[in-house]
Amino acid sequence: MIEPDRPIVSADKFYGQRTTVRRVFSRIGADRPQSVAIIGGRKIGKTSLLNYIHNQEIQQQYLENRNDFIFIKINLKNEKYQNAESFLRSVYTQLTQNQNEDGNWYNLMQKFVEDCHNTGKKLILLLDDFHYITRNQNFPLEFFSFLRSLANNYNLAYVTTSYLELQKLCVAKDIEESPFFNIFTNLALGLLSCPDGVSLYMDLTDCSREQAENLVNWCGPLPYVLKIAAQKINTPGSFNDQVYEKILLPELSAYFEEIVSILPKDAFKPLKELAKDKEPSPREIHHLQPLIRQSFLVEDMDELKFYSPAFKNYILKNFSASLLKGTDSCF
Amino acid sequence: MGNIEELLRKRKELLEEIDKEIQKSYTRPVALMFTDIVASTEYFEKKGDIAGRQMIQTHNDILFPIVKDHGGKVIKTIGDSIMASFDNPLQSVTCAIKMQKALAAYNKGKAVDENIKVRIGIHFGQAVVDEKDLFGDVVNTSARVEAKAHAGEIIISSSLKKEIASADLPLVFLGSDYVKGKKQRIDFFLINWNNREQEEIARSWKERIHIKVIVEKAAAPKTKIAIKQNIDFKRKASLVKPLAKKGNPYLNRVMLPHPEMFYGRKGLVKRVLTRLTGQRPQSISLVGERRIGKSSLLNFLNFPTTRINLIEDPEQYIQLFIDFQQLRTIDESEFIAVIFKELVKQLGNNITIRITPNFDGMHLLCEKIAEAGFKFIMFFDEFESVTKNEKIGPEFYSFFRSLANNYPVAFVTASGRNLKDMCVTHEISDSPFFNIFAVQNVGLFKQDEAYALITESSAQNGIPLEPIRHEIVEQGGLYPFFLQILCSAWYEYLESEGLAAQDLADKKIPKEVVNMFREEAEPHFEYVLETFHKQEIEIFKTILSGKQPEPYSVYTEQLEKKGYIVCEEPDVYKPFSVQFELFLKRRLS
Repeated sequence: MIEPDRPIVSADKFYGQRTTVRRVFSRIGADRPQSVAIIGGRKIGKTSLLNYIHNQEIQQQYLENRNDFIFIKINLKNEKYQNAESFLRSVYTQLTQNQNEDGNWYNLMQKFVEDCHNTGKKLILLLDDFHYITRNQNFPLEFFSFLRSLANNYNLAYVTTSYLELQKLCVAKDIEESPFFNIFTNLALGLLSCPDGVSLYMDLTDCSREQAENLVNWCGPLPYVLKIAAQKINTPGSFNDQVYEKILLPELSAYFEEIVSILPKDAFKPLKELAKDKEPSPREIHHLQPLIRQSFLVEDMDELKFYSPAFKNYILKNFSASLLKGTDSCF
Repeated sequence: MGNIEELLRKRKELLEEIDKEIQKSYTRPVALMFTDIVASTEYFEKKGDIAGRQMIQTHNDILFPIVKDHGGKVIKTIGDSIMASFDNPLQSVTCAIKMQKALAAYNKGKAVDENIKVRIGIHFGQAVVDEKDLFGDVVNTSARVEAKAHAGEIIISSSLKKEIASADLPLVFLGSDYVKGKKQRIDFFLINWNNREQEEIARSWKERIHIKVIVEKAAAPKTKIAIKQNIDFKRKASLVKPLAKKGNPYLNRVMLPHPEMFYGRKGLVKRVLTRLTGQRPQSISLVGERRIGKSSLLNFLNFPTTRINLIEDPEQYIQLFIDFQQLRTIDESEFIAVIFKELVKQLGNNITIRITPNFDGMHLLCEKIAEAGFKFIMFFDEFESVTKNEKIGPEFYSFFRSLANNYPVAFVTASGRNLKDMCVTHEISDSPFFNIFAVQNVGLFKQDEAYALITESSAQNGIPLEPIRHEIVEQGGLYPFFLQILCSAWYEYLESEGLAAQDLADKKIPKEVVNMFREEAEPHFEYVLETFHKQEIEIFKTILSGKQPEPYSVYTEQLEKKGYIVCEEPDVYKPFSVQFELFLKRRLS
């Protein structure tokens, strides 16, 4: 059964993103583990990627001394921590399996991390949807300074996911300007490669390679989009772009709406112009950066293009300025 | 019978003669071993007296023959302890190893509460020996050495170590410490018979030292500060492992954790150390942009190996490092408490502080440090968090100034801007405290420093970037952080493509490298752009339009000082790197 909305849990069902996975592990496996912020649009596969990184067999493949590492993964969307103390308490309890401890969670956590460091252990916290923390006003600046201090002084790193750069998702200016964010290397999570997209679609359906290639060319190698397509078109047949548009575009519009909703208002005009094959000015292109970083727009031979005819058609026909209402605060 | 004087003289001679005889016949050097069963009280309590006595019997049955086999003599047992002497110092140690091994073999496969574990301490010295017992200072000292050991350990004193110096034994220096009744410190060594990790041993040793820090709450506390020695940094330095030369060496984005990762800044390091190592250390304020490398510089200056390699008399300096980023809301007494706590952490068992951590206590601390002939250097990172803190008033700064004026005390602070410009009130910014600092700007790398960063670590890790060093500096500039990001992107690209830099026919920066660089660097460029003054933005616009800004304007000088524009020819400015220039063109055109 195809479930486009559910993140992939099993490593053998995870497709592509080899470069990103390699880059994440090269940073985790550095002499002093380094923090990574994985940034990607909604349903691009961030949680699936984090699940994949959390898989012990995969860790074994990429890390030289896997046994030196302690990984924990927290889904911040599900957990909804009330404040910094409850978050630290949860992390501490997960790490130590000690439910009975109580006290100053900052101190307890620091002591634990210090002990790990002194015994040569490396601690990796996988924090899914980290913007639920940065946007929560009950997490003060001291909390982020504390996290930074741990990473500065001990063998500890964070791998976070968020739909935009974390600085753009902060509840307060002082947190946004905090040097905490300096410790991260941002990695944009983009599309799959076309061959990976084709393989995924073929695995989900009974369609031929040629049919899969045609479909991927139209809608682009995005796992979520391909899964929706596989729900609708899963038997061999002869389809063309018009048919895809008729069957799939209504299904995909809601997703594309979410993708563009992170853009500032100023992005409307250049995006529409681009769909009409007009080249926006460099300054206007800047407003489209979030889409470029996530590969929904690609620069090809100094020319900016849509990643797929499906997305281009959506912008041309369905995209309206009202969708960008209220998004200025992100920028 | 002579007179009294004669009798007394004879008496004295007789006593001396007897002493000589005792010395000759009954005094000799021995290696004296003490053992003690760990947790025997709990054993008796849990299992009962008979089982407890049985356990001691088993212990004796295992260990006594080993003592005998090694030429030793069990002088006596005291409860669960054995006191045994050896004429041959080396035999005492080999015996102890055999004893621990025998008990380890006995314990194998048994439940934990059935294990018999002993600690062993051995000391070497002169003892008065009669047929059944043994007396002298050696007995007390041996017992103290044994008390330092943990279950399964063998600890020996330096005097025994001297006697067995030529033997091939797994000796690990633990540290020095005082023992009860001794004025001089004793060096302790572990016989690492079971191949424990060095770091684990060092940590375990540190943990067993009881540091006395008693924070008195009374108004007039008893004051006691004892600084015995300042050598802990040497032990810490000896624990620093060489950097692993593998993988991408440019991934680090936190404060550089290893001295080998630190490049450049030689002139600045020298200037700072010159000021710190003068007869009276001078305070320094390091000022530089975000991500220019201030914390790493401060950490490098405080690193034990830096002290050993670059300072003539490193033992003379007591140093501590505090990052105030996390301590933005502390009050004055908490500030001083942090200093005390950090000091204890730095000096370990070499300091005893029994004093209230307040203004008077701080004065007393500095006084004692000065009296003991030390100089006290405090490295304060993110010090603007203090100057911006409303809970720290002007008196506090006056007080700290008086410390620097009256004692061999200096502060090395790091901040984003001049401290005076970052104070919470004018009263504080006008404080003469800030006059004690010599301000040093932490700016861009020099070209040779950038080349060293690019070429050395990449070559050591297997993918030399030396052939493209000019291109990297041109594209990334001399800003260490951005240079590091660009090197990282290049290294990753060459590694993943299986290419070598020297094989690139065209040294043009590949698209993949640009994308990786932009992905990571642009959020920082964005931040920097947001923080520019509008006049600074105008300067960039002027430069991008092909004109030149006013050379002597405050803003031009400021931008140059911060490292965002460079002046390669007189009065000709440009953005510090090609990539930064491209970013500005995209944003400001």
